[in-house]
Amino acid sequence: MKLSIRKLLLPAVAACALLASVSFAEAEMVFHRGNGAEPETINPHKSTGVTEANIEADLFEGLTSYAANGELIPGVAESWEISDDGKTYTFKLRQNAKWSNGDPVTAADFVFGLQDAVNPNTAADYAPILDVIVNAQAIREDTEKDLSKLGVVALDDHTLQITLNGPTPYFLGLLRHPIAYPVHKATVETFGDDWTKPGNMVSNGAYMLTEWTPQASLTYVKNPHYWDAANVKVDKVVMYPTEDLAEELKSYKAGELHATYDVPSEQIKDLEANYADEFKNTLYLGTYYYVINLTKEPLGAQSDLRKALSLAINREILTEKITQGGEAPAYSWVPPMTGYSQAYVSFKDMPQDDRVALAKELLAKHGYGPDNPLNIELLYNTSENHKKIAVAAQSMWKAIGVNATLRNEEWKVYLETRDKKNFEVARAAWIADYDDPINFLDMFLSNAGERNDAGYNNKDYDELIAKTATETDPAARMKLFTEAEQLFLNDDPMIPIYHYTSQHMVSTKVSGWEANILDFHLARYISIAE
Amino acid sequence: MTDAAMVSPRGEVKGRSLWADARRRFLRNRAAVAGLVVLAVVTLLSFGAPFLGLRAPDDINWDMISAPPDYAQGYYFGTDQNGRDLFVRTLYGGQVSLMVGLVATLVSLVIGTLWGASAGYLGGRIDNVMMRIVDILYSIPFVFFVILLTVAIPRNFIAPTMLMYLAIGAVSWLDMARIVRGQTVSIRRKEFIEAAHASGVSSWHIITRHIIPNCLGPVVVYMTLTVPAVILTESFISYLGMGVQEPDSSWGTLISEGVNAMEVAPWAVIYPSGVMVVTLLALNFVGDGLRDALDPKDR
Amino acid sequence: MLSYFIRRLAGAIPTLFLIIAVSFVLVRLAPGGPFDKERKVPATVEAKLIEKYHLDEPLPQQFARYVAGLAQGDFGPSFKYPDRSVSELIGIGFPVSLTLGLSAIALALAAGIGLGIWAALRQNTWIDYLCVGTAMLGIAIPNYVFAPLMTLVFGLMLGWLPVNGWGEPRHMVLPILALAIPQVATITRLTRASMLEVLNSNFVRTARAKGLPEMVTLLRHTIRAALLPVVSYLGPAVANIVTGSVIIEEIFRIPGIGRYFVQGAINRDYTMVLGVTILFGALIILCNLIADLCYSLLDPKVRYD
Repeated sequence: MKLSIRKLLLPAVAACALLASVSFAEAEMVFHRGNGAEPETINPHKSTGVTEANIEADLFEGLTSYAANGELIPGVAESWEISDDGKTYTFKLRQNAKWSNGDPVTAADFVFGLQDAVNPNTAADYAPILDVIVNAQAIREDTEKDLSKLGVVALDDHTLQITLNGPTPYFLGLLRHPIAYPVHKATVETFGDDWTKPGNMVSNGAYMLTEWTPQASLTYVKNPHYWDAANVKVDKVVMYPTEDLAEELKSYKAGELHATYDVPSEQIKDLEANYADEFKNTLYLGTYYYVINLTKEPLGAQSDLRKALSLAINREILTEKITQGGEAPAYSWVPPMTGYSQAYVSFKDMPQDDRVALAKELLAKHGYGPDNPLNIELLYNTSENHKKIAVAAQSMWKAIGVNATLRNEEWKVYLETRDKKNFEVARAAWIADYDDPINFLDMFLSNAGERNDAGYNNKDYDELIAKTATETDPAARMKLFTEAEQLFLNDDPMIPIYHYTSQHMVSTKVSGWEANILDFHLARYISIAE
Repeated sequence: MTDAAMVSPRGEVKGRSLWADARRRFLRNRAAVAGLVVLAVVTLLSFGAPFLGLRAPDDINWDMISAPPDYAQGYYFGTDQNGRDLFVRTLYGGQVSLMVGLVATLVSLVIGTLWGASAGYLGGRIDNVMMRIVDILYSIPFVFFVILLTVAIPRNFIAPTMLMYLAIGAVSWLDMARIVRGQTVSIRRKEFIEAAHASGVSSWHIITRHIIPNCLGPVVVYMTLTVPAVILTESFISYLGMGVQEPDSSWGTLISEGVNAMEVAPWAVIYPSGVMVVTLLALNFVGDGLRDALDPKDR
Repeated sequence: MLSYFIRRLAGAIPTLFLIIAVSFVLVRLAPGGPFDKERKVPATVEAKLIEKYHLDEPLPQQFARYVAGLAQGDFGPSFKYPDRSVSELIGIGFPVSLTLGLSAIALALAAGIGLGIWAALRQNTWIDYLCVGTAMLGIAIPNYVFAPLMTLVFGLMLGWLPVNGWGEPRHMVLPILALAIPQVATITRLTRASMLEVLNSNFVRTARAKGLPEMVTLLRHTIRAALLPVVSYLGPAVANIVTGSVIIEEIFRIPGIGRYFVQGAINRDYTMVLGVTILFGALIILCNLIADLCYSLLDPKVRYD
């Protein structure tokens, strides 16, 4: 008996001893940052999430880049010229831009990078956002087999020319998306899919990958060859996958992290009150909404009923009492964006009491009332936050005599149900990939397929959006967008609820962290006081 | 063996005296009686909640979002993040948690005891096959199995709460079967069993009248471990967000909602988990009392 | 004995096969697929991926392919983490989970058996009540409440231990405790109950009556027999610890494989879910086997022939 217990104990004791011998050596200036989840991939052309983009923005640099405040600044390209028709971009690359192994970054690297991004064999989820480039769509759909037909040409080592299908004012912003980052050809060709491993990876950003232990941490250090290395202060960045937000916050409070990925919404009020210097909260390019399935009756046919549902939702109360993160009550689909004036739902300035009265009136008009309540089903995916909002919405609808049943589905099931349009009202959200209204508005084109989750179909809307593709005057283009959004909102195919905010805890030791709408905080701007 | 003397050759237990005796012993155990009272109160309150004239569990008070207990307004446990009365929600949650515990434990008791005793008594090839089946079911990490089931079976097909009852019930008899078999193996060579066998008593009779009563001690102890374990399993799965769903709630869902705000709204985790812990403790005391009362060796 | 062991080991193969088959069917039954995302994956991309991972083949063929890969130790590619294979992720995570789990089991056994025996020998004294009371609390408080509470108290308020992370011994204290405590509690109760039963049984009374010294009686008869239910419980204990690791690893940010299970199930990372389930299944089979062997060693009446 004794023996068997000892046998059981032995490996554990041995393992303890082994682990005890491992310890960390502290480098000079280290930035410990919570990063939400385990990155799925750090191949910039394959990744899709914010977690991955945060890492890739430090490891790689596109033609354009982010300033500390999120503004667009030159990246590898130090300057560019745009042709009068807005279709041809000629970039001058920095002479001193280098890869982390010392190789110069050349125009050919960008040609290779963009070809790799649209190459159907890469199978990049985000390749469609590059469709603005000549032949990109044909290549990724495999109808054009010749990669060199892509409208990206190296005129010489440091001059790159990109040709677009039409004027695309947001193209420069798009170039800082990970899908447009260059990759090191020799490395990719030598290691194949393994090129992103520590030791293999060669990158051109301010940092280079040294260590990646899944579910524990991902570490990168300063790239000595980076063109602006002299101004990079943090020597080493450690990114932690922090899925449990409450634990992340504790870890932060215990001094283990300098910055968090997010904060638990339950604690925001307390953080605002007691950690005002450290709690960073700013508007983010996203909208949380309830989409209404227009292919299902009775909501599909009756815009009055949809409007009633929208009227009943008290966004102010929802954001103030439930989400509590300083979110902006939403009355439009496109979130606030520089240079764009949003369109609003008709009742934006109506007091809530009047809205409720109007909602009841609209319901009564179609024969719904206390004796004959409208029954609807609200679909949302499993999450504490979605649940809280759904429960609140349910009670707000109850107040106008609508019986809402909550239907909760686990993420993938929810996606399938939504895609198959098997719902009446569903929770949805969209976070911008780049800051242009088209990123929101093209979702509801009649030919957008499954992305168009409302099943919205309006020829006038389609035409307005189509017009923007050829409009060369940026102001006129934005006006067309506003017009289209107004048209869309007047049909009430969705209930906008709030525009997102991003929330972080950032230690007072950290300087160079500027809250910005894109929520990118490159480590090259950060420094840490001890 | 004293037990052999209690049993007539036809294997009939003198039930009246045994159970009356057990009841007397149980009632003398103060902790067990207290546990029983607590259990009765929690059960009555939970299932009687709709008739107590309390708030509805989905009533939202917009002025009391995540508010601490307020006796003047009758919010004894405070409110949750939706401004709902946590006292009421804890009671309604108790319905689900207690039902899961009850259903799964009944399944475990009936199937597990019969299965384990049969395997242990019959021995040989039958034992091998029966325990092999248990091993096979056993070796699927069973909470994983329940999670996979909740993922695989769409929620519009079967309500998550119902699925919880069935899934946990279907897997929780395994422990019982093994424990009973272990006991049976050591009992079956005892003289009184051999005597019964020799006098032509049927296997079924021996199992139900001799083996099982003699396993009752460990079975009752294990049962009192099963009910809390099942309630905990349900709460675990709900904590992962895969169990009971709105509008239903269980203690597990309430606790998991509260646990994220432990530092700022401790009442949201303290009260529901307090009620759950007290209930589980009561169950344990009752179980211990039962064990002492039923233990034939102390007579 | 040896032949029994070998027979059981061989018998484990069909068991494992069944686990693989059941899990395979269950994960595939689940609606939605690994490539369903908020932003719709372009049709050409999805087609490429489906072809690459052979998801277009009929299920039996995929199953055969998977099992054939397994036989060579290949758990297949991860759908969620395309930079790595499941074997690689498991290779990194499993030793961590194993360290955590074995330490917790060892602690649970040592503390549980010790406390149980102590309580039984001092039945109805304050020691007994303390042990039983603590054990009951340990069973009743769920570890997803206990773990955050410990990080709050010992990590944040007292600052004695790190809140989370992994790598140094001080990182291991809280998670091992959180995993072990419910098992300590159960083992204490089981040991105590069966100890009392054995202490009151005839053969111990006889041994005492014969005048054997108390310690010899204890060691020769009592503890040995009293441990039987504990040994039976070893299998479930391992299963419970494995299950507990799913949340403990997430709360304490430990790079084990428990975390992959729930993530894998939610994301339909088929190969990942299967890999973790198979590995944990194998572990539990092995522990059950060990438990059975211990059982036969402890109880001379049980013979395996």
